[in-house]
Amino acid sequence: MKISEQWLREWVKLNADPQQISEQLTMAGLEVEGITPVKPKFSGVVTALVEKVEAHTDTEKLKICQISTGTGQQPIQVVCGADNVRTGLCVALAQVGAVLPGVEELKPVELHNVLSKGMLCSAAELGLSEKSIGIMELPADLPLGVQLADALALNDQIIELSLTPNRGDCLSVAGIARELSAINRQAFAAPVISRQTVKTNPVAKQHREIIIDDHAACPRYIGQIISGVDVSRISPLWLTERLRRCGLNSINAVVDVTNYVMLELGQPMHAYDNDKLNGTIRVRYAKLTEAFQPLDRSEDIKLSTDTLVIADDCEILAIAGIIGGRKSAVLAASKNIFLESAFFNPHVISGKARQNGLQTESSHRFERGVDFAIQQQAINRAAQLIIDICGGSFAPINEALANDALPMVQPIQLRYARIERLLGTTIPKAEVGNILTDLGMQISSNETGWMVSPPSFRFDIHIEADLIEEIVRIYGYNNIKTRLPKSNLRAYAEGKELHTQIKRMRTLLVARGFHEVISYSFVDEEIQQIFNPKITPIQLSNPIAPELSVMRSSLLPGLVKTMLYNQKRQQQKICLFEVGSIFMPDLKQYQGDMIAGIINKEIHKKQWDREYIFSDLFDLKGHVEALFELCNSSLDLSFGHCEHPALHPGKSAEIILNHQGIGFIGSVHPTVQRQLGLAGETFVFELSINNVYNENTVKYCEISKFPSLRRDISIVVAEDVPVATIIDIIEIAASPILYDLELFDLYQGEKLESGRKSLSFHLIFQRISSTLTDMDVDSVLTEVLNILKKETDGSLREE
Amino acid sequence: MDKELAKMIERAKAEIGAVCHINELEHLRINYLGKKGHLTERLKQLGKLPPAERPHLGKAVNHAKEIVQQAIQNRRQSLNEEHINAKLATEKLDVTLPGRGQDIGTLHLVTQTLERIESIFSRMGFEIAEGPEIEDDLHNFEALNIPAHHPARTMHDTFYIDEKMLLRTHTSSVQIRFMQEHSPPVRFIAPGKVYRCDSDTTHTPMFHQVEGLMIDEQVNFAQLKGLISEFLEYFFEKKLSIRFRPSYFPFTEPSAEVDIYNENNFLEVLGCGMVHPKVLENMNVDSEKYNGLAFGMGVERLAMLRHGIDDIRLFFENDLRFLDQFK
Repeated sequence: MKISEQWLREWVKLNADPQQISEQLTMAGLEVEGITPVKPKFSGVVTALVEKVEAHTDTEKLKICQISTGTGQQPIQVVCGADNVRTGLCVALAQVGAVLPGVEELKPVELHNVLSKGMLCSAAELGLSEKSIGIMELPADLPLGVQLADALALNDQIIELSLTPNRGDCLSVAGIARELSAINRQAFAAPVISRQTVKTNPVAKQHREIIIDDHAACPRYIGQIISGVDVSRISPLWLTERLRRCGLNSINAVVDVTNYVMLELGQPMHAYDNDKLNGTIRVRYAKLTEAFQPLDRSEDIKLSTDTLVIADDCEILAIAGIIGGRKSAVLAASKNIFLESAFFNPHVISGKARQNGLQTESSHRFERGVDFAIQQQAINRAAQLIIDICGGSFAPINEALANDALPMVQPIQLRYARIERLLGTTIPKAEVGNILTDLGMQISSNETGWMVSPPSFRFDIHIEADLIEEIVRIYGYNNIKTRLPKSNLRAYAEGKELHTQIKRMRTLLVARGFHEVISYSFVDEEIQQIFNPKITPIQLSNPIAPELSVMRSSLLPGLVKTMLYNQKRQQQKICLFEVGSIFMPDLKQYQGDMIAGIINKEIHKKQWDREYIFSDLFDLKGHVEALFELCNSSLDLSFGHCEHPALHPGKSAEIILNHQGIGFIGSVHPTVQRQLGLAGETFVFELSINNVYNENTVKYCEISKFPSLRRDISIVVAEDVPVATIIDIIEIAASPILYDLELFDLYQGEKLESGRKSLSFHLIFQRISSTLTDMDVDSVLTEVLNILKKETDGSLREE
Repeated sequence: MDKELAKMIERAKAEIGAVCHINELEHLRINYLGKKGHLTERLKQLGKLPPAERPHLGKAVNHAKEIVQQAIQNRRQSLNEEHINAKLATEKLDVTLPGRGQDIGTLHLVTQTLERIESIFSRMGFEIAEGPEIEDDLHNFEALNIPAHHPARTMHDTFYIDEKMLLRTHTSSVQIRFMQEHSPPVRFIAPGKVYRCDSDTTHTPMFHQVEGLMIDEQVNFAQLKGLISEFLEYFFEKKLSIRFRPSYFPFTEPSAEVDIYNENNFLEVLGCGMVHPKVLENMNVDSEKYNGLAFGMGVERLAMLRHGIDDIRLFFENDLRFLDQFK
């Protein structure tokens, strides 16, 4: 919210300068975002009077004007092109030498052979508005020859506040002034608002009946008819200036007045063209099929049936507290108006503006709470201003009121001891009393502290803690001494091993050259479809962009996107992983952490002394196996057949732990690779992280004191026998004495029968209890070879 | 005889000196000192001499043996040295060639920052708690004193799944879940991803937060100030000018925004406050007996301040040229 410093000073006497005021407000919880001077950078501009206007002989567009800057002064000749220049108009004259926004020094010029010694300025040329039509028309009663900045009281600052939603009471000059009065302990001096002095005109037809259907929603509604107004009259400059400084445009005199009163007192008001109303004013809820056209729309909108509206006998006139309708809007031609000043319950208004996309100054205030005791004062103020500007006369006000539906002001017990307990500091009793009173609270002392009744404009004070917050806010957060929490040291109650384990897994991959990425949890549905065609993803009902519209059911769409992003930026080696949650359609079933990785074919660093090799699936598999080894679960790990729609059928595997599939690894299917635009062969893995982690505490195994024996054997088997089958057989058959096994060669080629391959292993044998003999090992090996022969038709390779 | 010995010594010395290879030296050793070596033979011949001459000559032969042995040993040492020196002279590497192996990767800066925050609070005795990212309205709003249509909801631009489920807008939702299973005293932080429909240089639709909660009998606002100051000074590794400014969160009261003074400006770094009595009640905590303090911070924001990053979107573009800077 923007507020004028000058206006504020009318309401509270302050010694502080704007900088200090802003500091005070910020430190009281009303954050000041900035202070901007009202006066744009101009000088040498004075008030002046157009004495004579003559047409230019050369061109119709220009007029030659004689401008007076006061009695006794020589008139100045200025050539002006504005349509609205006319004799008797009070204008802003930029004299020769003047500085304007974008003009360093104004010089005399000849326009079509006529000398112009100055310029008549528009508001836009002076930086006083974004755009303007014609030159500025100043009020006729301004003294002439005075600096414009003084004449318009531009020596003002705009204080811009960012208010928290609990402080609806501060959305007005009066509200901010109240706060400053409490902070500075200076009297809050509302300027005297003159009573309605014009005689009322008690004509029967000027009375409009008001009926409220739901008093809880609208406890008070005041209406007043003002007849015989001339809305075509222009709002006075002081009024439009104040509106402008607070960020509002001038619409017409009546609307300007209602806006002015809203800014001044915080009461949103609405004016209807009384001649467009039919019968009774009714505050009711919208009906199912009713149409309504808000004044800022060109089409009807539909309202939900819990939307409170103002209607007459025929139709909806306004959405209560939010916006008026187009049909009954006050226009320049309006002759009679019906003025509304009401209190709507915040609960009824809140959410409705957002729901209909109609957030207005009015809804902003009503949602947060408007002082429920101020409607009468506001309507008096507005009516008076309207008559002052537009003339006319008003009928008596008509108030519909349900007293018992007005918000209840409940006294709150404040315990003195509780203040210290919550804040950890002592604030003297007298000071507490002063702060509360200064904030407009009614207080009475009792045994433990005070009974406190908050004022009608505060909607955020219901309990003791609310009061303590008020006290400390004014007392000053900075005045509270800093202490450290007292400790009750406890070790962590629960195992956070998984957390530590994930940390180790990340570190391992980083040490192996992977970059961790974090991508959005919402992804492109199309890309996700490629990886998880069977899963209907969770849709966001309000995504920020179409390509971020579904929750990820795999980390791969994000990784692929990151791979593409970096490939487009000419990165060679790309080796990425991510740890994060995925989201399955049945949420109860799954919101779990996954770990996934992606590498391209160029992950090997070019070394100066060896030939370059492209990466393949086994590079990635090595990294994945390392994760299991790190978590002590590699013994139960195996890789099996995988059918993944996005992976190469011959170069992919399911990752199986303890007979349960927990993820997959593979080369991206060539079709998918092309479809996604990935450069070259790409390898991915993804697995459920919780499953990798082995909860069992490692138990020590005895180390043998006896020497080991080593044998190297080569087994020849058919090509399609998986290595894992051979290893399993050896491990089981040799288990009593086998200590370690390592595949060190794989050969397929001319030295072998076609369709066969040779696998060479180092086998290390050792016993815990005694030394092994060659005979022990030979007999085990014979057994191993027998089983291999039987189960795989494998045999020892002949040299 | 003595003369002969002296000659033999001379000859041996000359031959030893002339040897160029360690193998030849070994031959010489066998020639003179081996079982059938010249000097060994001499000793064997002692028995043929008259007993009176034996001691004298025995001594002389042994002396000669020692001299030859010593000469061989010296020569061996110098040959070894020559050999090593010759080897060293030929073996010279360009040590400026790069070492072999793979480059290391990087932990994402958010992970690094989270770990840093977690480590500071862990040392102060805070546990780490987690909760779901797709939340229900109850845990994200209602239980935190933000009923439907509360104007505070406009502070959170929420992503909705349906009428009930949403993407959590803060990790405060974890507070409620944690307290359903624990009772005071408690002290924990809840790190994690949060979501708001917003995107510009200072907002991304997803970011990370760390929320903290401490509930005990003697917890107060002065301690909250102390705890937060302690954290910030550890985090930024310097003395800071810290300002606690009154603010509003529906779930704390009093509430504060914390600003740090940096280059003539106050920068907002986190929000905190004393837990609202209604929220304590929603956690089944007796608000007469216990007080709570709570705080919440944006992880990216803290990382941006610490590392001088000016655009939050960099965190989620995952450009390797960005990631690689933070080893």
